[in-house]
Amino acid sequence: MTARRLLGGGRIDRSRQITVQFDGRSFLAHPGDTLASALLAGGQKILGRSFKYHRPRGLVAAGVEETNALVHLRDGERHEPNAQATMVEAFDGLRSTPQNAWPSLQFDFGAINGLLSRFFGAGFYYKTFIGPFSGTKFWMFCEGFIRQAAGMGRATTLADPDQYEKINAFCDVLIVGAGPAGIAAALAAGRKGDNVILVEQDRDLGGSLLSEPVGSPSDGWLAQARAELDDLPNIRVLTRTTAFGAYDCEVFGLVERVQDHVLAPERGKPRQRYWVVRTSRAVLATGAIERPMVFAGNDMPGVMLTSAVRSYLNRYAVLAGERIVVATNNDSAYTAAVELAKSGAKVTICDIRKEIPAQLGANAKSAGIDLRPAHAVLKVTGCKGVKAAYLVPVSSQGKATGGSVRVACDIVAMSGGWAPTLHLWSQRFGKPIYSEGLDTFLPLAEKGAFTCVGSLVGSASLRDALQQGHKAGGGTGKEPALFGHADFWGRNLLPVTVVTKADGGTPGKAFVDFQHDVKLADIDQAYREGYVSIEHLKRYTTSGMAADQGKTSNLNALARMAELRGLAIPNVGTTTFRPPYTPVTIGAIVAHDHGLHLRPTRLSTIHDWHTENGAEMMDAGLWLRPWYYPENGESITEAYVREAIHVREHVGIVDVSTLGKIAVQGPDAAEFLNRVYVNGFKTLPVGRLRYGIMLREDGFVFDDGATARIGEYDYFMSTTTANAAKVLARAEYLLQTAWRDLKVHVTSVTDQWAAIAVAGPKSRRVLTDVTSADLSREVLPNNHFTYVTIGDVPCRLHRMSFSGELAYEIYIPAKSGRKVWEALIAAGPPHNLKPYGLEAMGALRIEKGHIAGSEIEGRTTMKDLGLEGFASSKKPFVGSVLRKRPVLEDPKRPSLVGLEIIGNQGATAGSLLFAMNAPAKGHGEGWVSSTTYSPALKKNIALALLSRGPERFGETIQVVDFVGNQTLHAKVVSHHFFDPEGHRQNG
Amino acid sequence: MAKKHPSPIRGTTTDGLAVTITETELGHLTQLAGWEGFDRTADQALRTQGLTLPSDFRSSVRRGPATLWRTAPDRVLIRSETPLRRVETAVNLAILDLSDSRVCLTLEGPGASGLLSRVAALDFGDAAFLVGQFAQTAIHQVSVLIDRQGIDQFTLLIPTTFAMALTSFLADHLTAELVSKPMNR
Repeated sequence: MTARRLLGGGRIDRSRQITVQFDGRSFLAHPGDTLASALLAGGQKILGRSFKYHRPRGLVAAGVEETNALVHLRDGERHEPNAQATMVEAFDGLRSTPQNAWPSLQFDFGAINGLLSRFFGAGFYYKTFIGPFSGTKFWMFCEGFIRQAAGMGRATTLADPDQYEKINAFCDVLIVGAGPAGIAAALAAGRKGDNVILVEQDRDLGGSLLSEPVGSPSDGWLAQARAELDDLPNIRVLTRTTAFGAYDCEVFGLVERVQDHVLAPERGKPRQRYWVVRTSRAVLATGAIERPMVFAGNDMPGVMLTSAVRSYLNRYAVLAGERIVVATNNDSAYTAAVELAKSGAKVTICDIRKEIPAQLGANAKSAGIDLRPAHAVLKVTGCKGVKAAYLVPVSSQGKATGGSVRVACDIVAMSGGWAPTLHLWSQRFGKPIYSEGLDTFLPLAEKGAFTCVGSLVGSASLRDALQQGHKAGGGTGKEPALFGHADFWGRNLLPVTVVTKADGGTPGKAFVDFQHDVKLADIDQAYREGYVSIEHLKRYTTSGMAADQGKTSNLNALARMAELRGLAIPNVGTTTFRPPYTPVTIGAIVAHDHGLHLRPTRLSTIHDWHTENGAEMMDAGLWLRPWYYPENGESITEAYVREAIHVREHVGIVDVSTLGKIAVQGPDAAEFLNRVYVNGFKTLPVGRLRYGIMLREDGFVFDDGATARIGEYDYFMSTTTANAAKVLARAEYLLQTAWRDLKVHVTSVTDQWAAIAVAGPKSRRVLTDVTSADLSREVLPNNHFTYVTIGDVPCRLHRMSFSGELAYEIYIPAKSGRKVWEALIAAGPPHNLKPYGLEAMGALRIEKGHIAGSEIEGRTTMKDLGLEGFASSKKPFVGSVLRKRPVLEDPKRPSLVGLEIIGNQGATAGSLLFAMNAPAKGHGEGWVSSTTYSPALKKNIALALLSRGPERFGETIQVVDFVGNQTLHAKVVSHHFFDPEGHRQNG
Repeated sequence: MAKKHPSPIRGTTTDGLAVTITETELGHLTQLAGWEGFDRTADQALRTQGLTLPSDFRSSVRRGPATLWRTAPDRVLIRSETPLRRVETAVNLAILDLSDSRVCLTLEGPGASGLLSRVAALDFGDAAFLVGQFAQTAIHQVSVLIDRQGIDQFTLLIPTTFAMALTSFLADHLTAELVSKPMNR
């Protein structure tokens, strides 16, 4: 193959020279080139090695349908595998390297696979599952090699240094494709006043017009159209943007390659931008992709699509070869052939058809083309590049009817017809319609809010395409007038793309899917083995399953299977397309939702004080909470033990702002609470609060918390941190459906209130100091609240204990949270007040046997937790009926107990429990729910659910952590480890 | 955890348009909620404050420094400089002080609607989201209320506990202004 850059023509900027690199070699290029055109002009024949057989491969296409020229792009942190060289804009300093070849492209060890191709036919991997030896050993043996060989390029594991962003856009009409039809649609819609978004995957508008020779009438038309598009303020033109997905309700996903075409993104610009477009209607003008012919050696470097050879000639001024054989079955290749001949190549056309339209024949002959009707290419030969094509006379079924003639050549340009790019339409609407005359599938011209125009619906001429686009846009303004060549593929097409010997076989490997190395023989094999449905064919051979989604292979594979089965193509069927149309980088979809912004972080208004004062923080759902406050380099265990002891002996202060808080208001609020809680709330007086448990409808414990009555029709409900949203949602659901008669409103006030707990024997003293209020036992007994002022901030003071100590909760208008905390800290020193965190809080409540989230995770009932007595027998409540199901009353159900762990090792939550003499197998008799070192008891303890637990006090059991591979022993005891009478909290 | 940004935050979107994000004083925020007859009872109660109940859920009602948003068929949210005058009828109308539950951000500048388009799935076009309209939507999975006060000015009410995360998320979309040379046009 002797490609060369022509001295004139091309839509490239010859005034500037740039350098690109491939495989260590430098290539001269111009702005306007792609990496592919630069490499082609520079004589690079082999651009990659095929997936399975590692056959040398060169360019097949000039656009998004390229299957072979997949390269590694850039180095270091921006390194990118599997980039199509045809879609990479050339820029100065671009570095690319080959992939899937070792040690080099020229000489690849992997090519040995080609010699073993007998073993790599369709379904070879699947066959290792079932033999030839029994068992899975052989499969696992092969698995090792297959995993190594899987994939093409290698990705980097370095962090991506670039920014991406997502943006939402809305419009009246979205037009996908800025070829002639799309541009006509945009102009008409824009003139009408519609808000238009015109999307084009190329850097330039024009579509197929960009492959016309420079100086054609279309140039003038395009320039005018571009100017008008620019002028209309209601048209947004997005170039370098691929519409990759069409979703329900006319939602589209686009990815804009904002700065892929420069060395590094400019400051303030994202590398790529993900658009979510919501439109009222869509016009698809996505064109069509040419079909290859199938013959032996059709994957050799030098065998290309005719439209690609034409694009390289006219758009990039690169003549792909000196001696070109055009292999075709339709009219569309003729224009290209004539242009190639006029550029100096020696051109031969072999057309499967016997009858060739007179005008086309005449044009060809006068251009000096050697025209051979009723002939086809049977085989291509060469070493790592086309050297010759063997032409044979063929029947109208593509079978050779005579001997072959060798024609020396360096390029074979195939044209087997065209396949409209209907992926977006198919994503949305499913199966397209087969057109016999065009031997291809078409979308419906109108369906739902979609209109399809141009080559996408097989328009017969440029004029037709323009008219369709103009009409689809609303028909406003002058109809575009531009005429094309009389070379419509659909006229007199002979629907044969497979060329074989007289016996139906091919003299060598003939490829259907280049990217996945699927041969014609594989299709035949699948048929012989019974995998004849289109879905089976696809998966068994992997044809159409590569990154190109079968853009150049689906039809040929389908046609072959239809022929083997003796069925018409529509009866064999077609597969559906799914987004994305072309690969989309995950970074673009993630945009800013990563790293620190993976999820929204939720902070207490006191947060900064904690971090400024040495707290180690921990994640609690979306919240960040103080975990412990290490002093003098303490470990976590030293810190939490010290903190917990301090609370029991003196007084501690902890930020509990994360608690769920819900305002329950209305004349029926008491009735509502009475229905959701298991215990009574109807007669709770103003100024009192009460601990309550809520069940799910199915009788399991849902949540617990305390609710205070603030006013006659005003209640303040607290929930666990984790269930706040769930409880609110549940309440709303019930009030809006089953209980619409109740005049109740529930509103989240979690953000309205900061909350601080002060706990320990000296807590009353600290609070009396800082509030100057009478907080004696008589004035403020347990489960009462009052109003106080701390640091000029009006607060509500609840007397309630989670830790088991004398304790209070202070509710503060959130924005004053830190101020009140600091006032308490300032009043603290005489009482030795110290902050404590989540870990100590956990130790304290576990010692006390108070349940928390890990005991009410949805698998436990009140009876399991020993709280059955809590439930009122006088009123129904959510869950009251189903909690009485026999299965939930089974005495063997795991019940809440305490465990005193034997030894210095603490138990792991989730460990399973087994009797001492029982084998540690299966699910065991229960599990550990919460675990801690108890500072008060000076031993490791745990809360656990154990079958018949309360009957087994004193028994020693096994505590088995299967994940951590550790077994401990523990004594079963009551879970009220510490101060079971509650003396301290009732003080 | 996301970074904290000093207020005000100034920057440009990737379109090169400037935005300033400022935390502003919220003042008082009160929710009124009711049941049957809400239209009547709420309208009556609001008139004592000089406000009226709108019939739709997009129009902001303003009177002096006070703004009212009808956030649900039976709820309104009122932002005011001073606490609302006492409204009796607790049987028909529940009153809830939410002044500490929200932080108020103002987004100002030609890039304001572009910034919002990057974080919320709403049409912020001038014709789709009119000045004087509001919307309840989500930014970064957190519920927010967005009130449009000008072509280039939006007020955001965001939950207090998510204020740092959302402000940081918004700021992340902006490139800080450099000490700039005059731009050539």
